[in-house]
Amino acid sequence: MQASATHEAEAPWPAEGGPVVARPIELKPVYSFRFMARLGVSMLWHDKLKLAGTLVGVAFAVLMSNFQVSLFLGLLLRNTMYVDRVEADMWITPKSTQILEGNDGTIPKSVVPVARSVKGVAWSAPVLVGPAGLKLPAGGQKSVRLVGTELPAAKGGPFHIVAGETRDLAMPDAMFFEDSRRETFGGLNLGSVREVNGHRVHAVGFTSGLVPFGPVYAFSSFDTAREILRIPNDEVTYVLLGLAPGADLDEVVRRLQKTFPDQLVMSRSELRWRTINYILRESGIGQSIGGGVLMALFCGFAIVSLTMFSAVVDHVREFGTLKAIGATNFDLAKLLLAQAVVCAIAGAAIGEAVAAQIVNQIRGPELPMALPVWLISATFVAMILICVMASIMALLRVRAIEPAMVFR
Amino acid sequence: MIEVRDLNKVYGSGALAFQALKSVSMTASSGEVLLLVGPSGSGKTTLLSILGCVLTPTSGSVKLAGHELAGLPESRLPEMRLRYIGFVFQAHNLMPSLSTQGNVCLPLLLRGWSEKEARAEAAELLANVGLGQKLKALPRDLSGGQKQRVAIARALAGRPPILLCDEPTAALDAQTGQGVMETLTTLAHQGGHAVVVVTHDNRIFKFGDRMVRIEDGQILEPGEGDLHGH
Repeated sequence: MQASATHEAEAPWPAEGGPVVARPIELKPVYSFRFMARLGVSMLWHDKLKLAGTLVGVAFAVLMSNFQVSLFLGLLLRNTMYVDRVEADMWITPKSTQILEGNDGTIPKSVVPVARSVKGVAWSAPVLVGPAGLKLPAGGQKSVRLVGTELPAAKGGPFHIVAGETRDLAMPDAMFFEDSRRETFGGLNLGSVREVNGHRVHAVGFTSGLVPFGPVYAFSSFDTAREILRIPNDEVTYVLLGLAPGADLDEVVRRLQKTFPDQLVMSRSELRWRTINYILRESGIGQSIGGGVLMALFCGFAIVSLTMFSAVVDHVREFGTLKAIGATNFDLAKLLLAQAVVCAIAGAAIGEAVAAQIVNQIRGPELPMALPVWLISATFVAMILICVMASIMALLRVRAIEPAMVFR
Repeated sequence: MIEVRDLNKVYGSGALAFQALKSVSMTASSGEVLLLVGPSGSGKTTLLSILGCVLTPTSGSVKLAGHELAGLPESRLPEMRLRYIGFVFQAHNLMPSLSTQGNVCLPLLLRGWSEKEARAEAAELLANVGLGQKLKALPRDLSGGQKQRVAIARALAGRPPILLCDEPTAALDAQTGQGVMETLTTLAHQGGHAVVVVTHDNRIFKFGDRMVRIEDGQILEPGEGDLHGH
């Protein structure tokens, strides 16, 4: 080595010779974690092909699981949309009601004024809901879920109006239909005339996106709905209630339930969850989509697990060297943990970005999808947990590495 | 600095048992270069591994800087390595993803030094092995000799009293190998390190202060391995 002569003058060892005193070992966990994390990330970055494989795996798992969950949430939203949009804080329904289909009988109309007199209730309004058949011009029939609402307050709808105005329902035999079903209903336009349960109605407006699993919603005035659904004058399907300012919701619900023991009184939230539970129980959609989500997450786990394990195998000499120069298994666990977290966050960010693009592109009334912030946050947390779990296999391999292998 | 008494190492058990070291006793002092030579399979790498606290002996006594290794729990060995030993490997074993400075920082950061302190120390060590201009270079951008000098700088980081070198010149040309040995000799003679070099390379025997010859797991008696006979 040519430089040796000059090294002597500037040697980093004591020039006078004599025993060397090792410098003190001062363990500082924060420095240690930061350093091992940086080393882990640099190792990841150095092997870009493997990093790309890991990120694709995580992103794919995120995309698949988010796609399924957002579809699932969209489907649930379709069925709770009416409850969510109605301004009522509380509902009175027939005792057997599970979901707002209007198939569970009726309740006496006298409930409406009595409920309004209960302490804590600001207002009450009846709605009529029931299935009806719309006769198509070319023959045949389609089902709608007709909602009759009291005007002018129109507490029971229509919502999401894309054409017409609510006050138009005050016209005789006027009706709002779902915009996405205009073609299905025989090229329906404003002013089009159809027969609903043998009753001639004309379209005065359209709503958008009120598309539950069953028949779509149609809206009319209270009286028109009563005629079409043939519900007696002294009966209503549901009663909507508003909470007085400052009143305690749970307490008012309890009070109402005590007043109307033959009916079911629920807060909006209770009705919403009742609807969701019913759909999950009856449709099996929870199991099928839940299974898909688990499969997607398992794929992510498997991919990350295998890529991290093979990365350790590929870099076994480097890990052996780290052990030989004094790194403990705990130090290397920090390194792998940092790699797992980085892969999880970067992969999830890519997956979420792609999922958001796809959801925005394809969602519509027929395929409602939702990608709420809580789902995105939960996905990040889930992927971090999955990647950390996936790194355990790599950690077991690292633990098994003998530092003596560096001499072989 | 290193004191080995009646050291035995047996791999495997029963009929498959293989005794790699048989009653080995030896010493290495501060300020000397000890060459450990012998044919392949003679047990010199096993001995070096035990001295380096990366392998535990089956029986016998090993003292490093006065600390007995026998009976020390395995969990304490990383600290012993970190505190007392610097390694120079045949294949340098640098981290390919780290710069030369990053590689030299490794033992210091493992010791709990701050990044700033470690970087300053690493820069100084690299400058002293003639690589002060290559702080940011990755190992793939260095020649074999330069990589070995980085490995020596890494081994010196933290100033361990013992340097264990496994065939440090095997992958180098004659001139570069001589340069590496000159550096190691200077470290021993001026720096006071105990330098143990496992080697097959008779071109570097002249750099040793003492030579221990090992065959079939046993140290040959003095005179059987004559340093100056080569």
